[in-house]
Amino acid sequence: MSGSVQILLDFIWVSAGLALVAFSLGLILGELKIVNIAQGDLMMVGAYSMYALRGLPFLVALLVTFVIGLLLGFVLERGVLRWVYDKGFMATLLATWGVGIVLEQGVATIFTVSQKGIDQPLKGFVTVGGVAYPEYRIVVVLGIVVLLAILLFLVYRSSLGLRLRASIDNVEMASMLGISPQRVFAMVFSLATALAVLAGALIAPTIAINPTLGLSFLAPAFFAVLISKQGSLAGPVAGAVAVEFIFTLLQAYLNITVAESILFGLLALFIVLKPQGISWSWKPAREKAS
Amino acid sequence: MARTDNMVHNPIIAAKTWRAFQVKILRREFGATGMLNSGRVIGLALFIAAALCPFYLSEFKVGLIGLGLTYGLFAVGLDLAWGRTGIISIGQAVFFGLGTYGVAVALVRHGTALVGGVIGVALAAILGAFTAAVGLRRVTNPSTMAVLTLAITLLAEKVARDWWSVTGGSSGLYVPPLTSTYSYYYTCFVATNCVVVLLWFFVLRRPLGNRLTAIRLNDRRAEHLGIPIFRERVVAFTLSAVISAIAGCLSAPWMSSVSPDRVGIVLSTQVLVWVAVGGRATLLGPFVGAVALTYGQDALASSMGNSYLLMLGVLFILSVLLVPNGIAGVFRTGPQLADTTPKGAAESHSPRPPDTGEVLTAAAIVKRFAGNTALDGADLRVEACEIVCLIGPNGAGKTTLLNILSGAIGCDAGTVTLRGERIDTAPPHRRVAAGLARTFQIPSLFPGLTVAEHLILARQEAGMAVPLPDAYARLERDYSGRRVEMLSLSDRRSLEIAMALCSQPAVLLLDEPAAGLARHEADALAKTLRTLRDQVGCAIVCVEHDMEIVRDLADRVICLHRGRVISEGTMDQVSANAEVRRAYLGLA
Repeated sequence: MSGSVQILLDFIWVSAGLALVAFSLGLILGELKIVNIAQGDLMMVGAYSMYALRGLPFLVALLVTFVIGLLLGFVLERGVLRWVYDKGFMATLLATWGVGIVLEQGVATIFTVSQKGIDQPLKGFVTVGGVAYPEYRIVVVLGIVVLLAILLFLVYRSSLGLRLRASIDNVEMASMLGISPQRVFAMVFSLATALAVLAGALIAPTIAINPTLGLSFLAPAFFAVLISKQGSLAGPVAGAVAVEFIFTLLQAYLNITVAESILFGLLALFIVLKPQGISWSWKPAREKAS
Repeated sequence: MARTDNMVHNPIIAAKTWRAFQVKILRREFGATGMLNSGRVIGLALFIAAALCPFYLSEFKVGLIGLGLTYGLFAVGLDLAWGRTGIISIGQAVFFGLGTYGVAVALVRHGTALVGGVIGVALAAILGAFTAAVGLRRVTNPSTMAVLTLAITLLAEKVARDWWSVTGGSSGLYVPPLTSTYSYYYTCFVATNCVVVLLWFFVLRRPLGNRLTAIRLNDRRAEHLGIPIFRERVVAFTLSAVISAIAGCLSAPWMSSVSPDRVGIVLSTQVLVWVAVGGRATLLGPFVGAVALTYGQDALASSMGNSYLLMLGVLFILSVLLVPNGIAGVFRTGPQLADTTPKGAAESHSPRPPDTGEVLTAAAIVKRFAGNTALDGADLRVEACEIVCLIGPNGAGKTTLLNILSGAIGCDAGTVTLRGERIDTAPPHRRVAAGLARTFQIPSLFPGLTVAEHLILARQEAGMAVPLPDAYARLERDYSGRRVEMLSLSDRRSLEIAMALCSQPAVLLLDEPAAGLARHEADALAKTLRTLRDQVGCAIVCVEHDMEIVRDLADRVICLHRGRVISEGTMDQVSANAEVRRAYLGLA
């Protein structure tokens, strides 16, 4: 009994983190049509930022890290991505790939490659269904759920979100209606970067921090995005939960590498059957014409 | 027949034929005047420098160059997919690593390296074909292939770490040291050159090579020229996996140990950098990038450590931003396509037997876009040699119907029959083979290619070189060396029609051929198209808004409105129809 509760809690914990990363990845893919390979490395930057700021109170460090993420995203969009939009899908993908290498090696140069760790701000345990589970993880899961709920609410119900979705749907048309693509692109990329950085920062106290930590999150996050319809923003969140659910199930019975291989096989099968991804039934209410 | 026998049995004639063949090849590769372009001069110089390097470099440095050469071949493999065909692969090291592990496992177990290598290459071919077949279908998003290849390389590294009994886990397999660096260097050198020469003569200078370039430049145009893009992409990716795996086999003896990073993401990254920096879609570029950076890494890594990789990352970003064609791209001046125009086929190929009766029928076509019904049971019948014009207000479904006829999109219900053959589920290239050709509303051509190269592609796909009708032969005569970006809009439209005509289609689909033309050009168009129909003997289905042209051009006019045919007949009959008038005035 307690074994399965433990597995369930772990599943919720990992899906929450992945959902945040997948959401930001889906945001970038949907709006900028860019496969951002650097997303895992952005998480890594978040973790290192928390490590560098470990002297500050946790929440302050988190806030500073989020701001660093916004700035980093802005700089990357203005400094690198903006110059390759018109060179096509491949050039943007490679540019983010280069950004990833630079981030990884830059961090390795500054902090060395040896593993780092930071303390969890909350050290208590909460007993859930007979299992003592770390208080910190539960608080973080709740935080991410609230954050994603707010973001999705904004995306589907606010005028800002309407502009965003209009721009995702058709950049040219949206720009005709006065939605500047440059501004939306810069805003979206900054926000998505900050969210990935935040995800890394939140996970940081629970893992060993090293320059390549982002890689292990990258593949599942992409799986989550790939199985949902392109341009959908709620899709990657649902996709993240689905991917982690299958992965948790497989891992309960199998060695982790075998589980990952099977997960990959399932993904390949999925792509053959549903090349455009699933349109999750979470449909927004019809907008009032205004 | 008798001549052929002579050639085989008479050694003197055979020698002469061989000589003539050599001259022909030299002419073709180096131009009739024997002029070399700058890229080839540098290539030759580097080739000689590499061939002689054991005479002027230390044994250690020769080993480094040897490893660099195998990395170069690895990069050539990636380039075949990425640089030539435009398929992204961010996990290419998997294929390389399969070759390396294949040889290493064989060596460690005292087996034959060749057997291990062959198994490794075979596995790479299977994995490559599988990945491409999953990720490169027409309906798949372009991001899919990126994710799949990334996932494979991450996964492969973990498998290599975990599968102790075969791969030796994290510490890897210790490969016995080479007995002679120099002799292995030459083995590597010769093997690498053999693969490159085979690639050059059997892929790149063949129709297949041209097809890959066409797919990279404009896949939609390529498939509407009759190129099976899915199949050719899978072939290209599989070949690229095989070449990378062969490079992996050759590299194994250079390494003291073969560890999981041989299949991992860092090596996959590095090979992308080599190709990007060296130059895509060239043979020299990948080698220059790989050898220079392998050599540089050894020289700098000890003093710079991690900053070397950091520098590499910055270099990569800069090369993507500033020199998208890489170092070799600066020098290359040769044409992008091989001349594969079928020779002498024009006479031997009998003209298509003239059609009679209905050549194209579309019945009860329904097409919905996310709940919006574009076509709602549209019908169309086209007789042989007939010119049918489709008219209708904006959003009537004219272009959608054309797209369904040509196979650019599928339909939700209904049938399309071409010369008695059901084609509604066939991909565009099959429909071209069955006798359909089309143009697009905005001319769809291959950016960067010349007029002559466009016609080479069209004729190669048609399998014959029929002379163009007078109105279009002009293009070939006057502008053959001109890139299509330099042509006027009307010439670009003419070129598209000329390409379509190369396949001697039974039905030619034109999407607004007069849009954007000057008045006098538009006036001439109707006459040109009618003459064309008489000369070629094909039916024409034409979407057109300009009623003057429709009146001059059409044998029969069909008016579409809200996805249905509302009127059909001569221009006067249709324009007199009350429903048509309502549709155009928006009163319906």
